[in-house]
Amino acid sequence: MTNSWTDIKNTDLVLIMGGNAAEAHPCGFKWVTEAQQHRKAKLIVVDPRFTRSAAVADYYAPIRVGTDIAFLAGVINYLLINNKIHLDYVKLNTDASFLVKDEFGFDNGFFTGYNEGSRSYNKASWGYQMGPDGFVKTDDTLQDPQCVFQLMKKHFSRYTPEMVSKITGTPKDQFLKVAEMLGETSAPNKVMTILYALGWTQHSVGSQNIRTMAMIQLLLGNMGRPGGGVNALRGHANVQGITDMCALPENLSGYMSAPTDTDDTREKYMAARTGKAIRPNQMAFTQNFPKWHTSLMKAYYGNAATKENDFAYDWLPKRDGAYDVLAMFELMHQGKMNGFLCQGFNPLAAVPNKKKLSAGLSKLKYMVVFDPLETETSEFWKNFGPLNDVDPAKIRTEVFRLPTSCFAEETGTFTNSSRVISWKEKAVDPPGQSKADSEIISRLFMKLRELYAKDGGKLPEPIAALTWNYSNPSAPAPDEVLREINGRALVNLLAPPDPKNPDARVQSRWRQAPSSRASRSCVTMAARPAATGSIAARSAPPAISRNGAIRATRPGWAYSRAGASHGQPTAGFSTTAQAPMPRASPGIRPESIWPGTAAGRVAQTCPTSAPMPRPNRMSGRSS
Amino acid sequence: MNPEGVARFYAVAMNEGPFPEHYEPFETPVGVNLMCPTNPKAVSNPAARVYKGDMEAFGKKEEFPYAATTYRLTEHLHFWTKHSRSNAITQPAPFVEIGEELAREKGIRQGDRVKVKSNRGEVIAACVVTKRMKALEVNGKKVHHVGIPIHWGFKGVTQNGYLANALTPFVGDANSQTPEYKAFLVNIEKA
Repeated sequence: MTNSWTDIKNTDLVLIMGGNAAEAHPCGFKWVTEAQQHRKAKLIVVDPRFTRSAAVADYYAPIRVGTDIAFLAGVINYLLINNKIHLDYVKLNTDASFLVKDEFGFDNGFFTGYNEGSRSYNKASWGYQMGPDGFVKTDDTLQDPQCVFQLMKKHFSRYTPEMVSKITGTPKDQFLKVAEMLGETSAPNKVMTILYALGWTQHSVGSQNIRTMAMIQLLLGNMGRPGGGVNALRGHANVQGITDMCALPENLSGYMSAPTDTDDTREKYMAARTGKAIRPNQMAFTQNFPKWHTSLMKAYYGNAATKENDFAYDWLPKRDGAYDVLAMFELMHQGKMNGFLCQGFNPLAAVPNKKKLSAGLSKLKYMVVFDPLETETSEFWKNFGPLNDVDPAKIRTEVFRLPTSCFAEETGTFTNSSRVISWKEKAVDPPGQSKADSEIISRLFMKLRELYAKDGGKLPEPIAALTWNYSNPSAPAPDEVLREINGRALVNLLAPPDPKNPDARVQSRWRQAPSSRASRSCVTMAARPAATGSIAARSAPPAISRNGAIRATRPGWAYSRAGASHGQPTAGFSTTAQAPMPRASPGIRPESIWPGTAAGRVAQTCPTSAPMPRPNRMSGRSS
Repeated sequence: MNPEGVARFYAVAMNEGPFPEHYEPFETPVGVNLMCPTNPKAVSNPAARVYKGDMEAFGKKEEFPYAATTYRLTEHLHFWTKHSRSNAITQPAPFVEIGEELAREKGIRQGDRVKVKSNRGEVIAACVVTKRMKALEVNGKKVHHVGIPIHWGFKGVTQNGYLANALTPFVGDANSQTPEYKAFLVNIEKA
């Protein structure tokens, strides 16, 4: 979700397409009814079936399965030719004005650079025109025929209402009605949201289904606004947690793409992933990729990851190909995979083409199934008549079944569609000998480490040096794991000095105090507006709460604001400082804590409206 | 955040093109991509990975004329809750769903046992005939849909049923490799 469940209540129009929220997300759907009742929001459903979501919609249009791009591309064309776009938003917030390479093109179903043999594109002809300054060339008038806006107009002009109807089966008048309703939210005071689910992702063009909608929301100016966005409703409880916790073959933790065979050195790996701004005054968040990756390697290997050994980069496995679920079963089917640890997964039921899966599983030497249930996968070798007509005598795969605890039998977290993480306590003990998945994996790891220590082997370091600091290494406690995921500072970090006022810290008495990261950041941050004079004349006492604690801001807040404000106008700080300040408690003299005017200025610029989680060290001095 | 500092209409990272383009599902009831009818190689996503043998396992509209899709029901969560008695009571048995017009054409009545076949396998279940799915006119021809809820199997406390993924094709999205569970071809007849 780009927005949150609760934010749906702020919308003027809801489109449900590629999902069926009323039946599949009944609890979340209440925010749609909330918007319908309290904001008079309208609901549109586009679906091959007249679902229960459609039953409570203001407008329903049918569509043939697998033709969503044609429908949405038709909407893009409608918005562009009828000028139903939020032009200022588009100019400010999108690449519409960027110029694309002259050699880029599209003809008869193929973009330039298609290689039929490899079923893939050579993308050399794709991309923006770069100027000698290293920045993309643009045309702010949006008139250049090579600008993204004009190319987009040309590309989507082929999706006429007649063509859309011919492909999708949606009657033309119904398509136009939906396009018109969506187009109304191009007004700056109108906003719409889209809710989708697996009806969009589970296609050979799934990613582009979602991208087409994202383009519509950009044209309408509905991204990044309350009640707007493109919102994916996750199906399983905690499936968001699975992706966030990197249970994907192509990712390391934190959605960092894992190294491949070609990334044989850390430099190459970084170079391919570290971003650089291609427009002036932009920051390219991925410029920080090396920092993220180094932090991860320090988390994995602690003191064993050093600058000298490239932070243990060589210990990371390098992917030699695809290992997504289809690739995995293809390898199995080809007889190239001998063993399979199947954890919390019932692929015989959940992966397409059961016949192929069954043939693949039959070629394994062994399979270990970790599951609280007796899954079809774990009994793929057994004959269930026409439901599973196999001959067990011909299947040599040895199957081990390890019973695991289910969600109610273990403490841990759930991450929902909105990326909200909820802590849950164990309700009951797991039955019999079932164990938490984490315990099974940990015991397996401890055994492997023991074997490496005893018998050696090729490259034992990645196993031997792995950080494993749990009170019970064979069964890490969920709160220990959560704390580890949360990260920690290896050394104290200070905000950099303000280039305009490098002496700011020296002016402060805080420098001599064993101050926390938060308070130091606050000094650095706060000194900036003082130096520009925007609030220098203020002389109000520092904010002191009833218990005498100084109201500093939360560390994260101070830190990020301090970091984000480099080179930015300081007006934001002045505004913050003008927020009403709580009065000092009687009996505490501010001067006793805040000698000197510099410190006084510091205090008042700390945003007093932010809640104070706990007294900081300064309060200890005052009480 | 990204190197542009603004959102992208033009996305080079996408494997099948910087702009979205319509491609038919790998099993198409139309048989042609109307956006490029003269290019048989761009009927379906030209950048999607297809393994040897899987292309041949895709069905054609002549033999499997109906557009099928899979879906979930409120009463069940994937293949888990068929092990739970309370869920099993609320949705005990597998079914497939078709519209009234298709039912008439095929002589299928409410509750009849039907066999749904794709080029890879089959499912036999009770047929639920509804007004919810109507034939659509696509390129001058009628296209019927067949809906297949996924929740049954041969383990658990619900009635046993065929695994819906006996039918679905082994191909995924060109970027994420998410399988194409939502659009394929089947035929249907009384069992």
